[in-house]
Amino acid sequence: MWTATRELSVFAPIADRSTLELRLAAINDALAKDVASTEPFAPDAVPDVHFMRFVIIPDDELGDLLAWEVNYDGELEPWLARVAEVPGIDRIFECCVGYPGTRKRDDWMLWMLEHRIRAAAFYCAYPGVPRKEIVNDLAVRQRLRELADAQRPALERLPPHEIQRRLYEGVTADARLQSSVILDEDLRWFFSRVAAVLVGLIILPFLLAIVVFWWFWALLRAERDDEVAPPPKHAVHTAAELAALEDKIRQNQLTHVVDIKPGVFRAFTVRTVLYVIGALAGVFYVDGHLGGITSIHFARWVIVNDRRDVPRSQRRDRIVFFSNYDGSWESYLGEFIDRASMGLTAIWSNTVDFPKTKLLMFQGATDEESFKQWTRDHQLVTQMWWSGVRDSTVQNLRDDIWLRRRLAASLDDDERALWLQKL
Amino acid sequence: MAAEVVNLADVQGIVYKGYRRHEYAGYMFAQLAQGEASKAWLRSVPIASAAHDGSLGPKIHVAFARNGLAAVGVPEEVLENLPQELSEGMAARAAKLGDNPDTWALPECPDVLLLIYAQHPDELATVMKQQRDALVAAGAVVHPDELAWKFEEREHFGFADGLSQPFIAGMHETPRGHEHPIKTGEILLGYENEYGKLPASPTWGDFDLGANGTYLVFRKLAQDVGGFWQHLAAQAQALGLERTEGAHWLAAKIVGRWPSGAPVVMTPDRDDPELAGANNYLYLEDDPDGLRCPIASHVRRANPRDARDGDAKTSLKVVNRHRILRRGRKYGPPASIHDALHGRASNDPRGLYFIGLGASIARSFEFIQQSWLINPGFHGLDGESDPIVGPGGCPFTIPAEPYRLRLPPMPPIVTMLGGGYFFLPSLSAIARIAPT
Repeated sequence: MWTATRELSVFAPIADRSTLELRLAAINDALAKDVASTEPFAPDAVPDVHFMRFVIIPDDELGDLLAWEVNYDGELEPWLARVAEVPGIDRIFECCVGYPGTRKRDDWMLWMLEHRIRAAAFYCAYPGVPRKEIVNDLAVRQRLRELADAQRPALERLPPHEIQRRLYEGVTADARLQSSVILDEDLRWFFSRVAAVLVGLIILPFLLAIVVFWWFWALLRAERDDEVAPPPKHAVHTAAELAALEDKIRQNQLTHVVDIKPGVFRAFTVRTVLYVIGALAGVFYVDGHLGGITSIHFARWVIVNDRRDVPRSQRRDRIVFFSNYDGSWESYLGEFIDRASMGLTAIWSNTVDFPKTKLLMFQGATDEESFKQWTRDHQLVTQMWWSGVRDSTVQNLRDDIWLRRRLAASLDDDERALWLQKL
Repeated sequence: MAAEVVNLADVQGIVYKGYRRHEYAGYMFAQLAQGEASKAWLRSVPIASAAHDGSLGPKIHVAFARNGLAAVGVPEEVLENLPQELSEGMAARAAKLGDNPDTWALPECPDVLLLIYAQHPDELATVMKQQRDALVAAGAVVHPDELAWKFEEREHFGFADGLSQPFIAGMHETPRGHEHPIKTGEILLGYENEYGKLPASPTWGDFDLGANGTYLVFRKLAQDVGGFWQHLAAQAQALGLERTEGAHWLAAKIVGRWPSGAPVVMTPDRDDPELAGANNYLYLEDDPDGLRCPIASHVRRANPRDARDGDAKTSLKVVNRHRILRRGRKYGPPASIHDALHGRASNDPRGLYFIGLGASIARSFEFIQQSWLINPGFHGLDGESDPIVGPGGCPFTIPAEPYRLRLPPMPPIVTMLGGGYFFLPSLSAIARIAPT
């Protein structure tokens, strides 16, 4: 059974920012202190969600926006219909312009869909694994550990297949735990990959031929004329507000908003790059790493177009980046620079103030201190953030899933030895 | 770019060497008075440089917290260019570092730290007194002396220490066996770092105040030597192992080296004095799953070498961006492993003055502490912090056949008693701050 892991981003103009701030703060405080909230909305009441945040994107010129970022399982509309039943959801969105309320269900659904912007690129570390399975597999892993610890003197003398059998019986004794065999869907990726390669082989040459000359000419001119922020005189400075929100649980969040450089060239380039990265993420980056970065649970780039009636040269299209990652900001940014600087530079070299780049994807993010300062400068305070897996890293979850899927399976000797090692 | 040669006469000596022949060390914290008197004091301190002068006399070093620099007249617009972690101070970073503010015993925000080394205890006492008097005369409030135990290359739990250090290309000519070469800019400001960039440096007008200087982390860490060995002896017995031998085996698994310093990767089952201090080993090829040296062990977390990723080359490159030069000394009288195992270790306070140097505290010390040492999810682990410097209360997984052994939650054995983040300026920077 395949349940897609999906992304929803809703961006809505704010009518009453101060009320909204108070309400989101009440929810977030209650989460942080693990106490009852004065607000009726509880993120864990929303079904089948992995991560969720509300963030206010302030902008004097374009108007303040409320962004709602959710990573959920299943089909959008049936899922939204269930969200409409969640108490307190109106208390948040009623601070936005033109919100119809959940009582007018059809209007509500329409309003949500109208304010939705599809991610230009979306990454998930465990696509197709619904939250229900993650919760179950975590519990199975814990039970396996307890059994393995408690019974080690007896078990260590047994042959490996017998150890696995005893552990399987121990887990199935608890009727709440699901242990059925689900094989990894490797074939799914195989066929998608073949398709992707074929499409790439057929379409790319045409695209390249048409675009390449114009594009290089434009790129060289653009990079020559780029204005970049001056290199910082100090090691990276962080707004105290941002730092105060970090390092509470095993994951952290990042909300980052930056203007795309004006003009057709950058608008075209950034969309193309994000399309390619999104395509790679959907087909190749499906086993827990995004271009070598292993600490991201979910990430997405969303392009928020400027809908004002102004000349093209004055338009301010923005890239909003949402990430849910393991560990500290410092280590996350380090992974960006160490492992994925080319991909990231290819995206963000099209945005303002980015450190000096060369040929779209070189330099840029490799300028460590400038890149970190640029990231902090455009990072936003996230008013409410919720993680459904507070104590698990991507690697932990993938190990849980891997162990549970093989618990009842007949394994060959090598795989069984590995299975036992991972306990 | 060829490796730059560092002008050693401009660098404080402690960056260059650990003063093994200066066996006695003392540390002094003070709050400075504002203005001229403090400047005059700074001018008067005979600060030791890294240049080899053949003298075996006492060596004095001075490091400043942000407020200390303000007290000696460094203007606000210069201080704004200091790294944020220095401005905030170590106490403010407690959540990141896993520190418990309640155990803090040292002065909370000292302005200045003096590090003094001497060959004889009397000489140390004399110099400490001179420096104390000079500070007091300049209107400073001086905190109680912090005196290190006589230098030994063995820390209190009984293990050879200081075995793996970065080697700085611009300062020394050839690496010694226990040193890994890294770019000068990882340790000293004003030089290219492992990213191929010049690190940001506080400037004062046209003068680069940071060049040839670095940042210093000071932490006083109390060690419960009796608690450590008795816990392991009890665990050994629970596993059906012989008490003393089992405790040694568990300790080696936890530390990642045997008491002699022999790496458990190279000799997994018994200590081997022939391999004492050996440092030319990697993890990925010999021990990818930690069957010899557990993933959660202290040395593997503090320096994962080639095993941070599946790919050795990337891993070494990345790890070299998070190295620190260690200059720590221990305090309090040693207790032997034998006494500790038999409950006869004295109750004297003992532990380590951890001293680390690096061009970015955030990217070296804080990163190592937060992302490797105390990170409960380090390298696929689940809920296991560092067994030595972590907060305690975590299990410890020892990979084994047919499946891993897991020690029940360990008690905390190291307690952080305070410290601070300091700027260790070059001698020319000190001359700029307090011109004659």
